[in-house]
Amino acid sequence: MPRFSIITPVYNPPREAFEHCVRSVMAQTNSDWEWCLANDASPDSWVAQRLAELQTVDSRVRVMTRAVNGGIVAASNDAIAMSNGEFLVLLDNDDELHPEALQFVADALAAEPKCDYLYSDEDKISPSGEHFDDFAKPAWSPERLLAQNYTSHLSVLRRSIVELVGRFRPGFDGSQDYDLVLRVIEHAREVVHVPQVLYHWRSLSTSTASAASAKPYAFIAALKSVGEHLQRTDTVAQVTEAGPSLARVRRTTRRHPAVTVIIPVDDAKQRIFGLETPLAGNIVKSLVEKSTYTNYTVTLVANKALSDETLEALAAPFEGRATIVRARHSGLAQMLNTGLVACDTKHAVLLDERCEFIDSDWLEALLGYADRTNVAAVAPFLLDEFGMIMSAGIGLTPAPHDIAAGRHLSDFGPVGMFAIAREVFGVSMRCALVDVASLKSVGGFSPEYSTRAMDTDMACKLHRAGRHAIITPLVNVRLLDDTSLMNDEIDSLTMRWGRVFGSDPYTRIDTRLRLPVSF
Amino acid sequence: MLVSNESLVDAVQRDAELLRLGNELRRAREALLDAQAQRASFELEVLNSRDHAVGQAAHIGELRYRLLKQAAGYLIHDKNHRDHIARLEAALAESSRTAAQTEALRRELTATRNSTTWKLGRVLMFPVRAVKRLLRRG
Repeated sequence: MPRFSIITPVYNPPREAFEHCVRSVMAQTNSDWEWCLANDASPDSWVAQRLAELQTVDSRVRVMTRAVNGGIVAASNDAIAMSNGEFLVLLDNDDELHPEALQFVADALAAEPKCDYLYSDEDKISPSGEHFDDFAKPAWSPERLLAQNYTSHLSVLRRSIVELVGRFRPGFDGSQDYDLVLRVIEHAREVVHVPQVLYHWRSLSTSTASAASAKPYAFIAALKSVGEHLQRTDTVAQVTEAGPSLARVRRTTRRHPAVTVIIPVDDAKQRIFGLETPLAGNIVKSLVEKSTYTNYTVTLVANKALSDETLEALAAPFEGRATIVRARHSGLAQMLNTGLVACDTKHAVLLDERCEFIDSDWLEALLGYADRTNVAAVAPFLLDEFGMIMSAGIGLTPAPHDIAAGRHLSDFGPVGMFAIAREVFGVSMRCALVDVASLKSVGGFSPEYSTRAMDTDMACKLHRAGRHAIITPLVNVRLLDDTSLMNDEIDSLTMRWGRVFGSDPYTRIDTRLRLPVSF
Repeated sequence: MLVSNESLVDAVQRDAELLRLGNELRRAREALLDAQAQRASFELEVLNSRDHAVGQAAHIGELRYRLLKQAAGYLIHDKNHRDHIARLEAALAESSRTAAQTEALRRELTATRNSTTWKLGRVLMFPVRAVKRLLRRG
């Protein structure tokens, strides 16, 4: 039994492209494969002839010919039916594998034997044969996969699980791979990413590699796949279009859990639209007026600057749902820690008094992600007064920074990454829904930092503990602050975490080993 | 209305008991609040200690990383130095070889000049040299 079965449905490919595809398979440095090709009744006579020829040249090539054209799903399933390999490697009839693709996959599988699904980086090949559009993919990001089929090629799936979920499904033509992957990950023990370009996707005028709009039916099928995946995983969510080839998954919480909103308050004032406004009063007003979720209590953590009367006035709008806690230590980190200690709910919202809510269902939207496995923090996009993004998460590559800072909200960013909810290394804790136990398990916020560097420190601590963060564009929060979220404490931060700077698994700079692509 | 002494005593005792219980409850509440505050304070200390431990572990990790990186750098540096020394030694050996060759050639030249043949040749060629010298002077 070979290790890998390469699955290729064949239907009238451009001859030259198909020959490149053949050469790329034959050039594999790992020889433990079989190639299962299903000829979907191609009208061009050379196809059957060439396939028969291949079969005689190499005994690892297995060909079946369909009597009638059945479409890509039927042909792919016929190819799978022929296969014996432990893993299925999906390859389109006009694309190419890197010569060392299977060897890299074999090495990755040896390192992670429980892997049931593996994906690699990819690039595209222009009609003139030039390689372009490298996609340095993030580490396994299940939330991002719901918004876009970012894993795509190369996909390697354990055959037993593909058989378990019933192979490719009719009715999902154009997005059949995506649909299969979404069903496989529901059973997969481990998903592995190989950060190497192992697949070269030929960009033809009709292929989805050339433009997202080339196959609109494929996107409709993709939305359907995501919707059904969410149903199968018992997730209450609404799936809509977010942009070209991008889905927007609006999750809602079914349980309506109790949440504590922790707000460190002081006597700071800021000029807002020309009016000198006390920030503590402003956030209280925004919270009361802009929240449709009702099952929350508020913990106002105050320093000595605020009088009892002021605090009582701040608590009054919450009608008995607010608790006032005096912080014994000064400093924002200790105020937040005091709030965390006083918190008796599983989830808490950490809220900076400089925030203002824009969307009224902000808490429902954030809570939708809260029950995802190992998620420690969920945060909205932070915007300035003019709608420019101040933070869409914290990235570590090449150095700690606020993702998308300075970009406009309408900017989708590279590969649409600013338009979708996705896993990020960390999030700004100015407004974030957090898992209280996760934060406590890493020691809360570090009093060593007096500024927002503590957010990056927290992100590093949570990441080290195997906890994830999610950023969602479904919620936007205005931040009335003109100071940068990053700051002068970078040296101190470097003394703790310098070695991980530049190795953000979700925001990669292309540092892959560029292998020769000629065969 | 007449109230018996016994009832009065009971009422006074009851009031006193109520007062005592009230005071006890108040003290218990205060103690509870103190205990809660103390607990919160301890929890905060636990958080800070945990952060300190995590921070120190991260710091040690960072130092170890830098040390290893520096050690790797030093190894490369050391290798470069050794390679350079080897190159210098090779050049020195080459230079010594060349010097020895030069010395041998010099000795050969001296021996040639001291030979009878050379001296005889010099004598025989003297007139030619003298004419050439005169011609040069013009």
